[in-house]
Amino acid sequence: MLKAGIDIGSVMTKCVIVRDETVIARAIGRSGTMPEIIAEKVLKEALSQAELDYSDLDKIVSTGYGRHIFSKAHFTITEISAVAKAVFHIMKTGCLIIDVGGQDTKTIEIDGSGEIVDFLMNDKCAAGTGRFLEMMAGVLETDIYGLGKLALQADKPVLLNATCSVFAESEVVSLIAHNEKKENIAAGLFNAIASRIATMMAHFNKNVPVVFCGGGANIPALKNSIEKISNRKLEIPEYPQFLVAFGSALTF
Amino acid sequence: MQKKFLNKYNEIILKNLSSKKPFLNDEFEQALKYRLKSGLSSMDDFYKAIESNFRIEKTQKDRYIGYFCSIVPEELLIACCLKPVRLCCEEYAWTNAGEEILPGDICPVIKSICGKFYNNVYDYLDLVIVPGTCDPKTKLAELLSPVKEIYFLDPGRNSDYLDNVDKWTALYTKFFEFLKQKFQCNAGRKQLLNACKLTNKRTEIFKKIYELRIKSPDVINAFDYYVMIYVSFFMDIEQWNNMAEKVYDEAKEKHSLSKKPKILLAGSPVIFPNFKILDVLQQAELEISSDIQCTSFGRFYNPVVIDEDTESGIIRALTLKNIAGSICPCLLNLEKMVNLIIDTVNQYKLDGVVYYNLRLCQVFETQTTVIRQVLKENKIPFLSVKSDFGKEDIGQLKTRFEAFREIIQSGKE
Repeated sequence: MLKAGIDIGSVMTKCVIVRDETVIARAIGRSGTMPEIIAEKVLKEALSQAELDYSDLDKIVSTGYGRHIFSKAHFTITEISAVAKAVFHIMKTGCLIIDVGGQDTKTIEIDGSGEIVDFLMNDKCAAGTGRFLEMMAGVLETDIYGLGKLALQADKPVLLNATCSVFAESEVVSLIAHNEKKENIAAGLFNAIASRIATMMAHFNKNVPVVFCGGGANIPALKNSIEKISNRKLEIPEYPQFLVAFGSALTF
Repeated sequence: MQKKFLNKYNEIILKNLSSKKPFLNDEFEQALKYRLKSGLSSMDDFYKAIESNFRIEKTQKDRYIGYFCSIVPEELLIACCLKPVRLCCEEYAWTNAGEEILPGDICPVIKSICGKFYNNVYDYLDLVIVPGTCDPKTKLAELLSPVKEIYFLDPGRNSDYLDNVDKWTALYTKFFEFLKQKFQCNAGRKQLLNACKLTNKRTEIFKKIYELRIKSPDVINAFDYYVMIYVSFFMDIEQWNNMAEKVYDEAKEKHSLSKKPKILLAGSPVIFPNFKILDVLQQAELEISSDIQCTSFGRFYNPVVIDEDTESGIIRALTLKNIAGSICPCLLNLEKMVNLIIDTVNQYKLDGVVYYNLRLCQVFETQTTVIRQVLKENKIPFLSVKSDFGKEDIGQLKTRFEAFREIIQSGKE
């Protein structure tokens, strides 16, 4: 059976084509202000990689913030259920999932049969999310991956107090003005996010593996910070940013 | 000294208030929107009542008394022929107006109340009863005192009946004496009994509606239910009883078609027009079939049980219903609250609990983690959300509610 899973996130839109539970193509694009058009474009790109056509697909499942706007989808599912499905498919055991996306950071616990036991998400503000990191990277005149590279070279990470994105930006600007090294500021930003994630993790089972996914899992500095602060080892599956899209395709 | 100080403060505030007033038509539009969703013709009168509430025509003998919280005994006001008006409000427009008087990081209910008072919405009130149930209300009593005559009713923060019954009886008795003197009436045992009869009749009707909604939540939808609750804030009780009885009679003949998961809504109260939570729950295909909230269940579910048919006996009975029976987190201890939630879910075979935290109402939020853990141990699906009157988090709330529905449904399979 051929299925497409499309995760229309607040920042990025991801698509996977799945043949009998195996991913055969992946595509990604920035959601922007016209997410339905981008979703269409990303789906086309994935289909072309797989040398397939719309008509070859048995099912299209959409997920993510824009799940309801994609009219081509046969089914919709929330990103929470989708990521749980994908992670259980890979891990085949109960675990704690950390998903750092553009607008949300989620912690989800699944049991030994893949059922969600409980989940927690960040409050409505952007602190602790991918968007927050993008904004801070902008202040340091780099991108989100550049920010991660800077953080890995820090010798003395600064302690950042602000939890609000806007105030954190002011704090970062003021640190730059005081000649603080960019590397130490970057590491401080990752520590601030990691500390919020570690607090969320404390609400869940401590004796299960922790799986880190979402766009945030592509940044090694963030993984390091979470591991250090939570004192837990994180596992990152292949293509962590595509797991939600993959899970949605597995669901129906 | 305090009065002089507060009057001066009031003068400064009034001088600085902006002249722009909130756009109130929004509320009528909201009422119309929910009226269209109603499947009951008997609900029409409730929706019309919301509109007419903005044009109160006060006769010379009418005495309107504003109050907050379920711990204020309406029965004492009714016995004195006064018209109680519950003022708890969740209006976004008035919250903005309130921010001209109070800082932003204050309970939004308090801000919207302040906004209304300082913009003369409540000129028709003859007295306002403010209870000391939570910290912001305690300060509210002071802040409103230059604008209106305030009676501060402080029950303390412990609802254990045996420890406090004499203290509360004295508190209510003093309040009753104050009312009788201020409004020159001779109310006593007979008037109190009549008032209790009215509120007990309301309890009887409310319980029928509450239990009907547990079995068939869609025959009186959540919007209709919360509109009925909101109208009870200001409508004459006898009139409300008659109208609610008609709604029950019409609804009980209908058949439930809903197959959606049934949830218990607990936590902060939902007050018209702030129906965002109800709207998003409906979009996520979750059916609110029961609630544990102070404005509805907490206020109406228990009757006044009179053991001793004397004036002081009735007043004692009122303290039992209103203070000892309060479900406000400022009064009720956590163990009792958790047990109430678990018992309700088990008794009515509900599918899960949504716990709504109104942002900046810290007492509700403080108990969230304990409730979450205990319900998890009891294998009851639980979701807590935090929100306020703004609309910007609708997408995020929807994701949480839909995921919660998916969890419930996959657990049932």
